[in-house]
Amino acid sequence: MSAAASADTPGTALPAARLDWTPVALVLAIALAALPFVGSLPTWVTLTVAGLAMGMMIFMMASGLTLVFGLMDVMNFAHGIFISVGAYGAATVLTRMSAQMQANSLASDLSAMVPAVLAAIALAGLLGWFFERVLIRPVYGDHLKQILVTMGGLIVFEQLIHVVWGPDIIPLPRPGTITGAFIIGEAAIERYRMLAVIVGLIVFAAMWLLLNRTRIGLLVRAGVENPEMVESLGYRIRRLFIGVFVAGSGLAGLGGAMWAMYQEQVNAQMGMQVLVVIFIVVIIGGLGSVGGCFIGALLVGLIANYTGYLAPKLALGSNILLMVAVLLWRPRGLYPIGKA
Amino acid sequence: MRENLLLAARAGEPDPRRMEWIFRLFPAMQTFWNALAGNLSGGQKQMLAIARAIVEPRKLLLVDEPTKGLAPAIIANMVEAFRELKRTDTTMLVVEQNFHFARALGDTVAVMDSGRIVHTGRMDALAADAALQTKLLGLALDAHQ
Repeated sequence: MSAAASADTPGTALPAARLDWTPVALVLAIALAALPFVGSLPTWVTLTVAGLAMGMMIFMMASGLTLVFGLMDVMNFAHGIFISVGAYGAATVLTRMSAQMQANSLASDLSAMVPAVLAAIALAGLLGWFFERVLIRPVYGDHLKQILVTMGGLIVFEQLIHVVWGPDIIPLPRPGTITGAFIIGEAAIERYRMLAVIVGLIVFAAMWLLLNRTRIGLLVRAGVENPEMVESLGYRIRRLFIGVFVAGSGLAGLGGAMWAMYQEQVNAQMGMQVLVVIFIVVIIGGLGSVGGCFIGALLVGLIANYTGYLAPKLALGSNILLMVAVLLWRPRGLYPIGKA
Repeated sequence: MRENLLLAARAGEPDPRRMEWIFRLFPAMQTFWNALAGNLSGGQKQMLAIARAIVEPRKLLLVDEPTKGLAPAIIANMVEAFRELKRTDTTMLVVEQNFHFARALGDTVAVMDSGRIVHTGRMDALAADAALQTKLLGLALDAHQ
C-alpha cells in the first residue's frame, strides 16, 4: 500500500506485530529432548514423523473449531460429527472406486482419493451449514444452551449415521501407492504419514495465506478480535459467521477423511473419540488462533508418540499434562487472541 | 493500525492523498503505524477510531464524544478536519460534552438532560445567548473552558 509505505517511519514507539517464535522453538526443543531418551536415531525419526502426521491430522480437524470459537464465541461440541460424516463421505466414494485403488498407480489412486476428499469436505460443510442455521443460531450468546444443543445434535446425528450407513465398522483399505513404508537410512517412514504431513502443511499454508494476505482473512481476524467494530464498519458479520462455520466444518470433514484412512476404518463415534484431543489443542493454541492451533496440534502429536513409546502408561494422560503445563506457562494459550 | 484502516476502507486500498490528510491531522498515527492497535493508549485508540471513520468519504457520520481522551492540539486539528468534511457532502451527528468543540462545528443543536431533549435550535443562537447557556448547561460559554 503506497500510503502505508509513506507512513513507515523508523523508531516505532510501540511493539509492531511480530511473530512470537518461542512456541515454535518449544516444538523443536521437545523433539530434540526426546532423542536421548529414545536412544536410537531411526526410531526417533519414525516416532517424530508419526507425531507430526498425527499433529497435522488433528490440526485439520481442530482448525475450524478454533475459528468458530474465536469468531462466533460458540462452544460447538458437535464438531465431532463433521469429522465422522466427512470420514463416511470419503469412505462411500472410496468404496465405490475400489477398482481404481487396486491399479497400483499414483494417478489412479489420486483419481479416487481427490473425489473422496472433496466429498468429505462438501458433506461436512453442508452439515455445518445446517447446524448453524437450525441448531446454533437460536442459542448465540448462551454457552450453556450451546453445549446442550450441540451435544444433543452430536448424539442425534451419530444415530442418523447408523441409519444411513449401518451400525457396523466399515473397513477402509488405503490405496496401494500410499500403503507401506519407505526406508531412509535405517528409519522406516510410513508413506501415509508423510502424505498427512504434506497435506497438513498445505492446509496450514493455505489458511495462513487466506487469513493474512486477503481481505476476507483480515475481516475474519478482525471479527475474532472485535466483532462489534467489524459490524460498525458496515460488514455483515452474520454472513461471515456462516462462511467460517461452513469452512470449519469442511476442514473437519477433510481431517475426518484423512483420519479414517489413517485408522483404515470408519465408525460413527470416531469424531467423538478425537473431540477431547481437539478441544485440548484449541485451548493450548489460544481460542481463535490458527497458528496456535497448528503448534498445539504438533505438540500433542509429538508428545503422544514419544510417551507412547517411552512410557505407555503415561500416554493416555500426556495430553492433559501438556495442557496443564502450557496453561501454567501461558494461561491464555500459546498465541492468545487479543479480544476487545 | 495499518490493517484497521485497510478494513475500514470499504472501496479497496485507502486513497494515498486522504491518508496524507489523516496523517496531518493525527501525526502520531505515523509513529504507531505498524503497532498493534490493542497496545495503543486510550487517546491513540480514539484517533484510530476517527481515522477509520473518515478514511473514505461517508454520507453520514455518527460520532460519539470524539474529543474524549485527546490532547487540546489534536482536538484543534479535529475541528479543522470535521469542518473540511462538512464542506463535502458528509452529514454529521456529533454527541459531545465539550461545548467549545460542539459550537465550532454545529449548525443545529439539541441539548439533552437525563436522556430527554430539553432544547433544540440553531447553534449560533445558543452560542450568543449566555442566559440560555446558563439555564441549559449550568455555565455560560465564557465560563465553560
